[in-house]
Amino acid sequence: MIDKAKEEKALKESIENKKLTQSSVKNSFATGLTLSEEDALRAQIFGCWSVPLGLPYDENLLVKLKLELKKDGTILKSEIVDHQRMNMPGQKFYKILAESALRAVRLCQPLRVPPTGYEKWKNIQLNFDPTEMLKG
Amino acid sequence: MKKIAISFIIFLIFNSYSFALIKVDITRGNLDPLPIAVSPLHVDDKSENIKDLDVKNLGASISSIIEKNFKSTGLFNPLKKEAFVQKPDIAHLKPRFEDWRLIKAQALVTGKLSINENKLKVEFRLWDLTASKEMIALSFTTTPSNWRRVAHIISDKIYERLTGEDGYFDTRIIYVAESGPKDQRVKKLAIMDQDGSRTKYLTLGNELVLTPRFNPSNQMVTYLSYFRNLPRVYLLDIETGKQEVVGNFPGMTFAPRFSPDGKKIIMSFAKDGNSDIYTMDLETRIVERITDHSSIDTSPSYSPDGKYISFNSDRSGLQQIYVMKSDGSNVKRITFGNGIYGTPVWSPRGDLIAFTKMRKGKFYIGVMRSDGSGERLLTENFYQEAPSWSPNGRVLVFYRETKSGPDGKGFSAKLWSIDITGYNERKIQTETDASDPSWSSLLSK
Repeated sequence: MIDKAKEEKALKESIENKKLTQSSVKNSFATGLTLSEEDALRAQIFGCWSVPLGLPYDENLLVKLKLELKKDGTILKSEIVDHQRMNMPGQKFYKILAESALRAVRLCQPLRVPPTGYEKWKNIQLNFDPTEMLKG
Repeated sequence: MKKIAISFIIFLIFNSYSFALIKVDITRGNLDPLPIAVSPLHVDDKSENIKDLDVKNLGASISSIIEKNFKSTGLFNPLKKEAFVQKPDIAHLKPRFEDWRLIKAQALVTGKLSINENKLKVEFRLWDLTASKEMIALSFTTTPSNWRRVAHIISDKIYERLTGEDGYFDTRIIYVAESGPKDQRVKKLAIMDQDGSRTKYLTLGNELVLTPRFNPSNQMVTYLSYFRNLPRVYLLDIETGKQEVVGNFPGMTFAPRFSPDGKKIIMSFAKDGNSDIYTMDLETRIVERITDHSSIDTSPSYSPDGKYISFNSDRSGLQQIYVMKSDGSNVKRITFGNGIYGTPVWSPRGDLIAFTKMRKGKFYIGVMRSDGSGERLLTENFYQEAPSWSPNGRVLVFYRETKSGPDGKGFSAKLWSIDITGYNERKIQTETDASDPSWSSLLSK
């Protein structure tokens, strides 16, 4: 007798594994960083980013920060993608978040970047999204 | 030709991948308070001496108040001055950023002051140490006796620049100062700065005073006092000391509170043996009934736009919180949790309502959204109530009674504050026991 439940479970696991492999390949191919390299960079920035705790959690406050890096991971250039929003009336919270993102990368530098493949990662964009942190 | 086209497409695809921008989502960070260095303000050598003022140490005193304010928020970590390597006057001109970064500061406050012709001039600068740039620079001129307020105003400006929210340091808290045994309690009206300094007593304690409440937009206060055992609602102008009786109301009268524009007061009183909610126009003195229900309706509080009123009522059995339109229509119950809910107070930001909850012999101060969702209990104790919001809607002040004395039969009432995250609970120092606090709006706005 075939255990249908087991079979289905195995099939599901196989699909999940495939998904994982595909996503890992895709990530590495599309971003130029392997998942572990991306995780290392993310973990480094987590430690440097002091989230401004007074920010409202229900506003769209995603800050996109473009960086141009040197080979050693230090920052050559940093730019807030939507930098005009920083000086718009009623966008105080966005400005505070953008400044905290800039502080985080400056504090963190040199960033943990791979020893090879400079051309792939010399331009990088960090998307700072505090929503989950602020919701608590 | 076809081959060339395919090769070109393949080239384009691979080329676009090779230049694809790496994007990394940063969704977590640390919640540690921001390390900030507050350099003592430099005092100009040519400053005049002022009677009863230690001018030489005034710069250090101002920076010390700023530090205490920051510390009390839980959002900043003022660094110890022993670690500072740059002198205040030089730091104010041009900080050596690398020196301050060495002690792990991320922001720096510098300043200087002088007193000439009996005028105190204070200037300060806030520096972003990671970007090596000035974030804000301001100066103030005032009478020297106002030096504490200057410290609070500077704290507000820096807080606003670093958090995006208005500050709440240049504010006062009015409360009921209590002394004596529980059955012979003397209750006086008292006011102090939000940090507990400069306490002033506004009444002598001959009559019982209850529930002082600030007007949300100025320094007027309304409170309840018993005169010959009859409740009277008073208006008091804190600036001038002028006081007037708004009216005598029948039976049990509770907790008068201003409307957001300060033109009305809202309260509950018992008429024909039943408590309902009423407003009084302060200009015409016309009283209008807002609720008309056989239950006990008390503790009304307006939303900051004046369109809604929250209140508590036992119309469903146990006391719960309700919200209605300001004309009394469209009454909706918003609390359904276990326990008894009371003293709803609408946040000045409009997003939250603070309340007291009683359940299984414990008292909780909590917040929820104005539709009753997202209830969060911030603090639990044997007895505590009467939350009042800081003007920026970030912190609540309330009072808590605790058992005291060697046999635990005595009791003590003190003011406490807690922020809306539920962290950073602090006792506010008062000269006597204290209850029924109300937080003012910003004095400098």
